[in-house]
Amino acid sequence: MIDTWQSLLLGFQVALQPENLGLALAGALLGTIVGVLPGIGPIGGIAILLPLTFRLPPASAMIMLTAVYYGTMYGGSTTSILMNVPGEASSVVTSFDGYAMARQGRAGPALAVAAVGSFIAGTLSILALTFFSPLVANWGLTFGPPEYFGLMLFGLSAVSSLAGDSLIKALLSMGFGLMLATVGTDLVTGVPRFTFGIPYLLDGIDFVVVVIGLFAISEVLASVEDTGELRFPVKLERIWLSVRDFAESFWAIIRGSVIGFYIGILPAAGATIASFLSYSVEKQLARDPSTFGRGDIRGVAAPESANNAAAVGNMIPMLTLGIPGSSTTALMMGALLVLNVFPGPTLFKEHPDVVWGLVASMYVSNLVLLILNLPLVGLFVRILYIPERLLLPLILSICVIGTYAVNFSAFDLLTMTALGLVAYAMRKNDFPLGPAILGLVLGDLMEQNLRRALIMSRGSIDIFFTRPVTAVLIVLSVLSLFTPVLLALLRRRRANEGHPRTMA
Amino acid sequence: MTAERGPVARTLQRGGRSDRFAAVIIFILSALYTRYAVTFQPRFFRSEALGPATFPLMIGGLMLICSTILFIQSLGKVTAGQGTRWAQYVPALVLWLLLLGYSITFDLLGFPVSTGLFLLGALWLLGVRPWWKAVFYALAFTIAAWYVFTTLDVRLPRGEWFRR
Repeated sequence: MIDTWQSLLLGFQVALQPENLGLALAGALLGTIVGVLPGIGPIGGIAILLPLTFRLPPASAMIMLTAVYYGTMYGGSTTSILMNVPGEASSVVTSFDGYAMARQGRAGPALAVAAVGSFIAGTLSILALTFFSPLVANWGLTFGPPEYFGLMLFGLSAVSSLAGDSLIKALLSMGFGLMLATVGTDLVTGVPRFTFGIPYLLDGIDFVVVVIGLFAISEVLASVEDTGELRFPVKLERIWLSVRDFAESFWAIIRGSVIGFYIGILPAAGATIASFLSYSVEKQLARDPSTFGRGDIRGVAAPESANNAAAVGNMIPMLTLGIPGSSTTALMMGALLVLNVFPGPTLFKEHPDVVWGLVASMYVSNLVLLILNLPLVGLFVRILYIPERLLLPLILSICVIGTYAVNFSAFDLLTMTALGLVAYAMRKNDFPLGPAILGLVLGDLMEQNLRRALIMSRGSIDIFFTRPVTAVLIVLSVLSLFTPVLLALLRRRRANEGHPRTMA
Repeated sequence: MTAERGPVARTLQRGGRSDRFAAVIIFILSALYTRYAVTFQPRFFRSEALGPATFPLMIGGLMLICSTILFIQSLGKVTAGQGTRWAQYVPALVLWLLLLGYSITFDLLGFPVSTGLFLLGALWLLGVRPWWKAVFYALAFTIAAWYVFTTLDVRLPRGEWFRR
């Protein structure tokens, strides 16, 4: 326990250095702007801002990225409340009651409760993370290569089973990510793989290039079709939360935080599920559920708290075991790998400044966002008025500059452009992109652990079934693939019974 | 309200024909990937439990199986009445072509010229009128970006052609 406090203190020393504090501020501001920008979602936004962090030391880079991440989430809920345009799946629920409130002229309290709820949820779950993650990391230290392979398999299959509507498309997307991960020289044997004799490909395809291509470029291309139509946000008065509103939403915030945190820890069941679940819990607990969907403040407080808490909970498996549970944490993990920091149980010993600096910076970013957002939201709303037809070309140009800055290579630009087209086609045909990014990040590590495990067992695959943790993980992986099939069967049965259920 | 976001529109959009097309393309590419993977031979040692080809072969196998399943599933689906309207993709594809041109000329023409041209083309394509507005935004962004990024010590190319 004392160790944890000391480490956290070290974290705050790192996070509160003037330079890092400045980066957190800049990150939160940039993140919010990007989150609000039409035509580019949070993941695309983080992808574009990734190259900015590569000249920084690892701890500072992670601090800035965390702030960006938090900022994009906040920006996402702002557009969700004001314009009924959720930037990402996890803020879809927020728009049910948030936009209804905004139309009743209560946009101020809706935005304020989102900010306050996120702040409380963020702080509570970071406290939980502070004490939880060393325990998980210690447990993780007992893991060998077979367990890691099992964990990664579980992470991949769980994420695929919950992404999008079609399991097969999610698996194909994951396979695409894994394929990209195999490009380049094989680390063990030195054999060049899928390089087609092109020297640029010997080192593999750079993570940033793939992420910008897959998420940012394709997102811009996909939003070209919408540029004709301008959505004007509703009028905004003072952003303030009255004592009555706060009292009404307090328990929703607390419940949302707890639900969000625990759901966040589970792989794949990230912010989206947490926000939907907390919303339906509130609705069921409410004396008069019919107010939900018509501008009930609890309907904003609960999902906003839950998705923030889930974002923190998501960090636990990523930092302690090296298993990202969502596309965003996969992105953060990829950034760490680029910085030569390897997430996993040993991270807490090898890079305490990075881990604890990051944890402390979450506290700081939370506070920065609360202070920054309430007064500045009027400014962010102005950004919503910029027409997309002006923004989209500029965003593309920034993507090109960002990608070029990674290796100063024109080949990277071509790769990015090509991947952008592939991802655009994937979007248009309902292939989820999340599993691809997870496959890309985990591909190398998975292969390495598979190899090490087979060396341990002298080539026998029995090792995956005789070690209890590994066996359980493999069974879970298989089971998770059947979850969507079971859910679909249940849904069909329910529909046949003639009880059409609403979304929540 | 955009037509695309509603659940009804989504089911209409996901026609069986496009899935079938996607399944065939993925199957062919995965077959090529798998064929390429078979050629990987370790140069130094052979007793390795898992050679350089094994993991890619596993991925290739997964892709071949999944794309076959997607193909079979697509047979049961009905394509939406209107069929695919290719016209709706044209602006995005033209923008992509402009981006491709931008990526190719970035090193050759240098940042200022290629960026200026790309922005001008893209702004015009997306409907920024009259022409002098598009020129103004393109110039303003190019100059601002050049200034910001060179200050941040990001070496942007001046252009091979202008070096001499």
